[in-house]
Amino acid sequence: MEKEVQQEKRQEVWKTEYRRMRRIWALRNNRTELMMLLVLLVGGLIMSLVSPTFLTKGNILNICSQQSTTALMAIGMTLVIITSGIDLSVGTLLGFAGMLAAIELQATGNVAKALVLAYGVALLVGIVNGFLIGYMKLPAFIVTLGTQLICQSMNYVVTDGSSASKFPEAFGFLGKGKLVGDLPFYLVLIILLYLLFILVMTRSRYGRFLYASGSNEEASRISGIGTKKVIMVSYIISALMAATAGLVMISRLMACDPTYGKGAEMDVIAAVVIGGASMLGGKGTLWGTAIGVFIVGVLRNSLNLLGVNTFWQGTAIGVVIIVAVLTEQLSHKRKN
Amino acid sequence: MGRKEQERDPVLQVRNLSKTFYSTRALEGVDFELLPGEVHTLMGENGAGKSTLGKCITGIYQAEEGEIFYQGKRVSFGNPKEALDAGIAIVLQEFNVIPHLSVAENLFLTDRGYYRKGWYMDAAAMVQKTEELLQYFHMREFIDPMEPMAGLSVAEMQIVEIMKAMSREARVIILDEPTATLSGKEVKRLFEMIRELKEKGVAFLIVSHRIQEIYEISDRITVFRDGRLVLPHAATKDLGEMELIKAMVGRQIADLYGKGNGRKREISREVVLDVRGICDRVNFVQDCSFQVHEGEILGVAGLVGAGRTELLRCVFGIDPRSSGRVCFQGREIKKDSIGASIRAGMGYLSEKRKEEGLHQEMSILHNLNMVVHAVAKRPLIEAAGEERRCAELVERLRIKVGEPYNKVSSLSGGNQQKILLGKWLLAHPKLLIIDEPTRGIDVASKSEIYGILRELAGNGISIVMISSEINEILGVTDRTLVVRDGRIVASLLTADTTEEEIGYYATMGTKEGAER
Repeated sequence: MEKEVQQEKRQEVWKTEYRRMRRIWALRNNRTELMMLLVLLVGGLIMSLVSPTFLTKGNILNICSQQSTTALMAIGMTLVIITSGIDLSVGTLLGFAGMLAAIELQATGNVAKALVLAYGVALLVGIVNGFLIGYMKLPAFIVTLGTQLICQSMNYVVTDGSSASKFPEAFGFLGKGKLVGDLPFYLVLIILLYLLFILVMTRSRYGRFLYASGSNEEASRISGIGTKKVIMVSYIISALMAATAGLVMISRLMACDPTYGKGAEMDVIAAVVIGGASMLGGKGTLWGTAIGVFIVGVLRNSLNLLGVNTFWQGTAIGVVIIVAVLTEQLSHKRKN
Repeated sequence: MGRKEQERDPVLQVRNLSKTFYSTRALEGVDFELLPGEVHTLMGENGAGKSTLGKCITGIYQAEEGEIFYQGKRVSFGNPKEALDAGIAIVLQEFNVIPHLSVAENLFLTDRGYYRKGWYMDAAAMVQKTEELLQYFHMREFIDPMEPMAGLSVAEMQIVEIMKAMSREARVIILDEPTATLSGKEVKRLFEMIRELKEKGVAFLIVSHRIQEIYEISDRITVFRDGRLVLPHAATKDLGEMELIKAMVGRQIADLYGKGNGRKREISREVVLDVRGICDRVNFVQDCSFQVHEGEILGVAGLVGAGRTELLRCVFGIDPRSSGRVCFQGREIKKDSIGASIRAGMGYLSEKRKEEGLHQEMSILHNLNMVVHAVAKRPLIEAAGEERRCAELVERLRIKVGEPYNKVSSLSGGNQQKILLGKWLLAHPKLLIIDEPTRGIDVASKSEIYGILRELAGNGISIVMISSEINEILGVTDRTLVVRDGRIVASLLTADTTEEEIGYYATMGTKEGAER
């Protein structure tokens, strides 16, 4: 009896002790993310002092709308980068999946069929990427470069270079619909997806396996983790997110042009890297990625508000990426 | 000898050297000297500071305090290349090789003497010099100068690294655990090399765990404990083995392998694992059959490269098999997949802890729970469950972890090995395959690991243990398989066998010797 009491006491001790250590660990492990959050807050503060329009509802919604496709694709890209891969195909896949849906909408107005087409082609591209990279062990950069080119070219083949428009009104809800007041539907969708995937990455076995496969694939495999499948699924999720982004985009514009999405993958990769993910794999968080997406958005928006020539935007984002990676590296060096 | 030593001036001298990592003192006011033409061994438990000393001398780490004198002059190297140029070479446990370049290129990559006008590579001269070096070390028949480094075995790479040190005419060569990956024959060859160079006045500083070898090769021994010298510059011939171990661990270890050395234990007749005629895809492992009984510790002996690891990787399903059957507890494991083996109740601890064992960048707690999650069915993870398992296991295996959320890489080799063992134990296996259970581990941890293995066997868990240390095989196992050239050549009752017998089967010629 006394022994039991003792054991219970000991269990209580380690429970509180472990909880405390978990918190410290989370802070220590996400140093880059926390720093980027600070950068975002300080940047936002400065902008709100400099420009009276910055903190208005209209401007914030404007930033959200500009970054919505990047935000969606960044979810999948984070997973892929954690496996130490990269997905260059998301940009043109966004365009291709969007275009397939657009053609269907223009021709028949059948929303369900349009969704099936968009997600169908995304699933196909995701499986091809995932299979070649996860199972055949081909380099992710090359494989997704290939599928990127294929998606772009197929887009032109299918449309013959022309654009599509005149969609049924109901389809516009995805990109323009409001839920309560001025709250756009797509924003709620993005927030829900982020919450869902944060849960997946921190609390699910798949999330744990993702980090494990990225930080040491062979050790993961020997521990009984199906690393090939884990990697393949990350590319499938990435492709599905690209299709979602495509649908949101054409719904907002109520038109689709074969050039949509070209080069969009670079913004996505930038946001994920600024958000603290390591290209070497095994490191990165989704909330960090969300911060990265915001930093890119706020930066573009601020330069616009300040009346800086748009040609400078790339330079600004480029500098931020390099600084983010540099600080990460320096903090790493100091530790060793 | 003693008089002669005093007359020589030390080639390398270290005064009051201190180095701190985080808040731990890795070296604390170390005074040390190395004489020309001597072989000096550094000993101590893991984390005692032996390797750190070598790394501080060659500029891999910068010491906070203290001075280093080389050939009478004060030196301070910024990196190992500066040290090498001055004449101090270091060969680390993790080799510094470029896998896709040839042996010759690896040897002379940074040697300015082989670049015409300082930039144009003189490939012919490199190859010729490499030929000479290989001839000198009698390694020409095994290594081709033009062969890419990646094609070499670990032992061969080690020898190339030592050749690199010698090609630069180093006066001091520091070897960090040079024999950890070598087989008996290769160790002999290495020692011959060391003796030859010693005659020419080259001084060696060797970090090692293997007591027998130390007695064979070294002139003097220095023992570290917790960053301090507890036994400085002791002449090997005046030092007893027990005295040495006592100095290292700070207490007496009565019997490293625990009670029952050379014992004959009653082993259950119940067959847990039954392997019948398996071959691997590349036809290296050929037609191997063996059985493991419940609660038995089965040793797998043989030379490095004999196919022991390959055989058991094949059994566990890491490498695909081309034929043969594996039955576990009477049921055949049809699919040769790792997942199927784990679900049946097997576990596999690789000899390469860093590459194949633990996720160095992940936390202790996440590592411990890895296999549990891999075999689980539920999609979600409970933090409380993970923490409970971690707490239980840390207590059970007496692992010294500061914080369970620290990275595994922050632990010493011995504790990492316990984590690796622990992550499999949490999945409740019936059989564990352990490749080199005590590689690179200090004496005290070794003894603890043996204790744990024996306890597991007592609880009915079978253990298959690959080991290159013959004493370990003799001291721990119940039965021993000897593997040579991918075949099982003998199955011996450990209590009735001898070191010589195992050695005979392991090395016996491949042609006529096969008929026994």
